[in-house]
Amino acid sequence: MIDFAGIMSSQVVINILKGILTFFIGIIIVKRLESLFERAFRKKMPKGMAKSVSRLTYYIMIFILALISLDAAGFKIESLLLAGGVLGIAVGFASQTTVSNLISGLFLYIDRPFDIGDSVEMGKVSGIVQDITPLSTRVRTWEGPIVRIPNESVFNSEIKNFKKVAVRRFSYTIGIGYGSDVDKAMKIIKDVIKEEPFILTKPGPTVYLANLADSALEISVKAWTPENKNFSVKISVLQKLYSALTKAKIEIPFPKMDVYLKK
Amino acid sequence: MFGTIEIGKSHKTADFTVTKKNGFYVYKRDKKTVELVAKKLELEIRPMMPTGLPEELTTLFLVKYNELVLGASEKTIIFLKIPIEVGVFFKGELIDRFGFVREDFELYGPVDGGRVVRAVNSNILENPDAHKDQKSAIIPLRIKNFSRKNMKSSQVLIDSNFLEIYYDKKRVATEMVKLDIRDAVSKVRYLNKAHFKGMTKITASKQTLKREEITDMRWDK
Repeated sequence: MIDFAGIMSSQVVINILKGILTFFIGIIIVKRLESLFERAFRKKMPKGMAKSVSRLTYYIMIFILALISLDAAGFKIESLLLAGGVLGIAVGFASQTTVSNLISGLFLYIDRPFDIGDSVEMGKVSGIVQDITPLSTRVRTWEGPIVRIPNESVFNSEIKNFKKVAVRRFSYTIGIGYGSDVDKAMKIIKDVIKEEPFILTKPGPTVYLANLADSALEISVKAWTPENKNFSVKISVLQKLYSALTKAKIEIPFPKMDVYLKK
Repeated sequence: MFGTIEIGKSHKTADFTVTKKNGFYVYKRDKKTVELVAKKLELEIRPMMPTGLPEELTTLFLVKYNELVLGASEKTIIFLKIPIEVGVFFKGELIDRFGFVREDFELYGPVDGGRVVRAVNSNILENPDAHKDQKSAIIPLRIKNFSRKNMKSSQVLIDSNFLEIYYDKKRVATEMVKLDIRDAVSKVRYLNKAHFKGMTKITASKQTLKREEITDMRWDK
């Protein structure tokens, strides 16, 4: 008599062993591939994002490896895939935001509106980009705290990147009183600007009478500085302008209204 | 003015003073004071390119000179005179830097993609051998027009990282700089050789000598 049960069981054992062997050999290859991918990604992506993307690649490879191993072990993977598909739809609905952030992160990587270390303004947040991961971007604000912004919000917001340009302009509107000597005021302003070493000579600063407003003659002042000096120069020049104008007895008025009463 | 000076109990120059006080040396220039600890103080005074004051925001400087029109394939050598800065070094570390003229920053190129550079106005020296001044440097500039048409030249963009400086008791000079004017992008190259003989060399900070350093003048049109 032929022992079919024995043959069957030994075949099953062999298949299972084949599956296990496939999985263990596969794991070694996948781990090696993961480190190779991470190294390759690091050359092209920020550190955090490279690690996350290589991890994601690792899980995808593990998933494929598991299917191959199950197939080798004699399991029917079609039914597993069908069940997985149904599960995938359910998980997909549940993780809609996560996926959206992930895809936005990918688009941000392709678009590259900023890099780590850039000084940016996105939506209501402004500061220095600390890290870019597949799901979020971390910005250290000027006040100190680190803000985590989901990549979907980053992708949909208007981004100002100040590091991408070498220079930046600042401007003031300075009001002087009606009756003040405009030429004298403009000369004082130009002299103060000329004294400031970080204000660029090309493109040069502009000073002009911009508006005859309700309470003041408005002088527009615009000047360019190296990007990283913009804020410090802007505040120091404003203080010097105020001191110089008040010293020259040029009135800097506040809004006022003259009311005449008819008898 | 330049070279290594040994400080005894005190030392005074037109620019700074050093005095020994309570076991250490006090270096003073205007409002700047540096206290130095050494058994025997040696300070090295070096000429430096005009890119460091009031702060080193760039290593590039744009030297402007009277416009020259070069015929097709023509070349010439001119000698530019630019102001320099002075660096005071203690054991290889820069402790002070000062200059003699006001230096301006300007943008070379467009707002998006351009570079912040130092703008330096220069005279063209007619007799560089007779030039005796340690507050300015001579830049020998060889200009060659590689184009098939007349080209104008009125400025050269130099990276101080690649520029070697030489000095002696009378003057300061740099290595020869070559400006290749081309139809597309003009290029600035550094010759790595003293033009005037018998001068002391200061090696440029980023000069490797393994490959030729080139500065592109991509917005020089």
